[in-house]
Amino acid sequence: MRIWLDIREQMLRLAALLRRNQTERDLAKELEFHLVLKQQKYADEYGLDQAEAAARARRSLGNVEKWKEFCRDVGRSRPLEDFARDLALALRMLSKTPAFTAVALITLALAIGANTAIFSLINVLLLRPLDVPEADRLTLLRIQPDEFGYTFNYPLFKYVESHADAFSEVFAFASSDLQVHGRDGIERVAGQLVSGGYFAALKVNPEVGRYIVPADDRPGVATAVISDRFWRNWFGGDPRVLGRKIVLNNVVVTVVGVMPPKFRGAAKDARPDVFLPFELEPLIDAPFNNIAGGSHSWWFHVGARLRSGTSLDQANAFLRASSQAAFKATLPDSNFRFNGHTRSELLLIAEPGTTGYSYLRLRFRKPLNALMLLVALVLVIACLNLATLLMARAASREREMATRFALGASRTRLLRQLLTESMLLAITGTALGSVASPLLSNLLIAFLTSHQPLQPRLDTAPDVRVLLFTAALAAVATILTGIAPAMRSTGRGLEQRMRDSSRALRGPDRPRFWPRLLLACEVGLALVLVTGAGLLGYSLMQLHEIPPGFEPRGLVLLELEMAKQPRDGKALIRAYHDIAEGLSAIPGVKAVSFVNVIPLEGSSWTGDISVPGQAKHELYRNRIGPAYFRAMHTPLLAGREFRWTDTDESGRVAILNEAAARLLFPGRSPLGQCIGVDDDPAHKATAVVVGVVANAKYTSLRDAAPPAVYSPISQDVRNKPSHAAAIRMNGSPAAVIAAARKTVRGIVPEIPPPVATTMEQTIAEALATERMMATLALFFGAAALLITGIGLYGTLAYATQRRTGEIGIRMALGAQPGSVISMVCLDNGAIALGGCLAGIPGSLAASRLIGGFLYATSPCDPLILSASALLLIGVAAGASMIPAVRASRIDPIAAIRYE
Amino acid sequence: MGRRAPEDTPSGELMPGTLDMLILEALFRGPRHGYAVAEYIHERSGEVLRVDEGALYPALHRLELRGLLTAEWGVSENNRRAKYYCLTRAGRKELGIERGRWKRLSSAIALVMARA
Repeated sequence: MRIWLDIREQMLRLAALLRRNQTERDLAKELEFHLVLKQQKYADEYGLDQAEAAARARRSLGNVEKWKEFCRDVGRSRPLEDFARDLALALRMLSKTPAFTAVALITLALAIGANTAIFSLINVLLLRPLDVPEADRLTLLRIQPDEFGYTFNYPLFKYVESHADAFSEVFAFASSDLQVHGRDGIERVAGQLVSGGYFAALKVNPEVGRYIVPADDRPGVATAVISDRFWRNWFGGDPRVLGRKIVLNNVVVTVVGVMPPKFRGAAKDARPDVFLPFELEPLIDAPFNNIAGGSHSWWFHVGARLRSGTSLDQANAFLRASSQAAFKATLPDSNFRFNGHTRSELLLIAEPGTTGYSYLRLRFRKPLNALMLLVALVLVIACLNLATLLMARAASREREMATRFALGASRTRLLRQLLTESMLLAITGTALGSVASPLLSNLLIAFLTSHQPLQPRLDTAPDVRVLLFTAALAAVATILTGIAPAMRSTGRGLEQRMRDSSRALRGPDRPRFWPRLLLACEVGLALVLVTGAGLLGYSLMQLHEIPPGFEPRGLVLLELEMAKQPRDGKALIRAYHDIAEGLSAIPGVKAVSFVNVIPLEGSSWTGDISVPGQAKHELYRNRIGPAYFRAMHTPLLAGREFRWTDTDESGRVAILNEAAARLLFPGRSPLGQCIGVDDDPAHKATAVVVGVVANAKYTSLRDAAPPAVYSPISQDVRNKPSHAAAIRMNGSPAAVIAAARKTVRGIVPEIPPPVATTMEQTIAEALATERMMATLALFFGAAALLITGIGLYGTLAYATQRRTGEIGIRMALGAQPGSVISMVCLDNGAIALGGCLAGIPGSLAASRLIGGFLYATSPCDPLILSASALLLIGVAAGASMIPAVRASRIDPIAAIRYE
Repeated sequence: MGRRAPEDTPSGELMPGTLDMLILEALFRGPRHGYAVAEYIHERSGEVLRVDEGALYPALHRLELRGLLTAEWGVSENNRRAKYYCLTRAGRKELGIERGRWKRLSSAIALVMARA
């Protein structure tokens, strides 16, 4: 009750402040009424005439203004009014110097926007829990010692699921792009195959119907749970959706439930629209069958919910004790190696799964943390810069401060006023930055995930954590920019001020220690950023210089998804042949071939190759079409390319790259030799080597080109294999891609529109991390340079302006313009040099931090470091020249007269 | 947070700290304007207590801010616009507390003074 009254009182005070005029009028009326009644009383009681009564009434009231003032005080809130007045003054001061205000706001908005953008990505990927009940009880299972061992096979999962004493549910989920027959032909839908315990573990109830339960998760049950979005788009939100059928990947499934809009599943960067039971996989993935693939197929992730009362440590102790048995039972081959680790080295562990599974997190955690550091530096630079500019400005407001001191203002009062000004800047800057940050973070996401046909959908909408972070940034910015200048400009006593206020008496070199120190810090930090940007940029250039072994320019890849269309075997090869001929007829197309695993896209195929008299080699393999190397511009060193006539009947053939030829047949020609190619354990075959080609990169640009063995697509033993068309062309890829899609639709209308990428895009995607780091570092490095330049220019311009009189006198006494220029410039020169020297150790330390991201670039490359320092000194010189030249043009007579 | 207004300037005849209570009491039987409050206190006290206007209006405004009174513009008996004050529920409650306290206090003072 008391508190409520207090709050109400403060609200009324605020309201009174807002309608001050109304209050004032009411007060006057109330007093007038009182006066009239009093006058009446005097007139009635003492029989006075009206004029006399009025005079006596007025006299009896005493000083009316004084008690009006008392009344006003009652309804007034002094801090609020002071604040309003400070705010008005700050607005006036800032609008009087629009250039300063614009620079301040732009730099702050940029720095804060970048910080918020990066933080919101970190927030989504690393911090924000899944939106499910008791998310902190969820765990993700991983196979130690592999850092990325989040992928499981079916027998292992089934074993863990049935031996899950520490968990209430163990669940599996696999993302799968599904094809659905829509109004405009075949469309893609993001799907997820989920095991029976998935929804029970995530504890989110459906909004309509039911979710998938263990009873659904057995062969032959074709049920589906759909997302709220899919329900609205596909079924128009029809409440009678239960029991409706959808055809997904040629499988008819029945809708049994709709999940609420907030449910996004257990993976952070997927947003499935359709959930299907795990056991439906063989039908959905046909002609493939990962479940039948058993211990050879690693294709999904596993999570678990801790049994109530069990801690994560207890669960891990349990897994430590039981995981060897699990691996022995499910990986019968004792020689099995999991990413290079033997079976006995493997260990199952449970990691906190609060934030769900995220591929993007695995890939971008480290770069994002490095970027956070980088943008934090930019913010510090922007704040330091503002602080120095505010200091310089405060110097020109010294008279104002002195006068206010003299009139009795307290130091805290003046501090409050100056801080109000920097707070206004910081908050406006933050507001602008927050507006810009979603754009920036969406741009970043697009940057990182440009290739996937169904782009990962990250929900970067700001939440409490982002808002708190932004508010903290605003507070930090206020303090960093405001405190130092405010303390300084209110720090000196009144007497000292009065002495200083006469310009002629002031010495030329009033100590400017603090602004100089701040500026030097700024230069040092800018050096760190510029060096980092230089290193990352140079490293990216080195990466792009690596010859991949083929010509990426003018090469387009068209991914044909053939698994769900009706043709197979010879008929499918015929279709590929037709596609090749159709594509070759498109104007601008020079050559067309096919490839199964697109180089540098990240996937790979390895298989055992045997040569009589040697141990088996596990080599990189690929399936390619006729004349592939001509299309790729990879030199053919010996023999011939594949032809359409290389069929099963004509005998198996193979092409080796140079590294494989040297490995398998050292010192002799491999042409005509036989090698054993085991496509899979069921298909052992012998192939004759018909050609040798130059080496080309396979999975990674950074690694050396590995030995590789090529087989023709016309001898593919698998069912309905999908290959990408490799199109060598001239001119604009867009036109060719459009024509190519049309051609493909004419030949195989049953497949979804093929995804098209240029080889340059594929390489850029492979270098996405490096490219993002380098681009952002260059951008922020440039921003740091610009900000520092503005800071150096601004402070010097202010300082020179204040020295006009002194410089005028010097010139009247015979100083030459050249010596004036050097006198003015020297100041900034010293700051830049000092800052650079101080920044070098910082740069070296920071470079070591980003060392892991560098390719063929030493973190302490002396050339890049000195180039960065020179660049900064150059910027400092440039920033100093304008005020210096202006100073040298001062007319001595005018300057002295002005004094 | 806000600085309180200076306490009502004590008129020699009013015990300090009693003005708020007297105002609440004066409004107990219904809304009155400021002049009527002063008159009421004057008359009911047998013309002993005189409320200084310089204290009355700030006190009224303060009580209004504290939510013990509400104010409304109305028409007076002589057909003029006047600001009428009225007790709120919180005001009635406060008056009850004040009455009890005053009773205890005055009887205690009476006890002390009775010896003389």
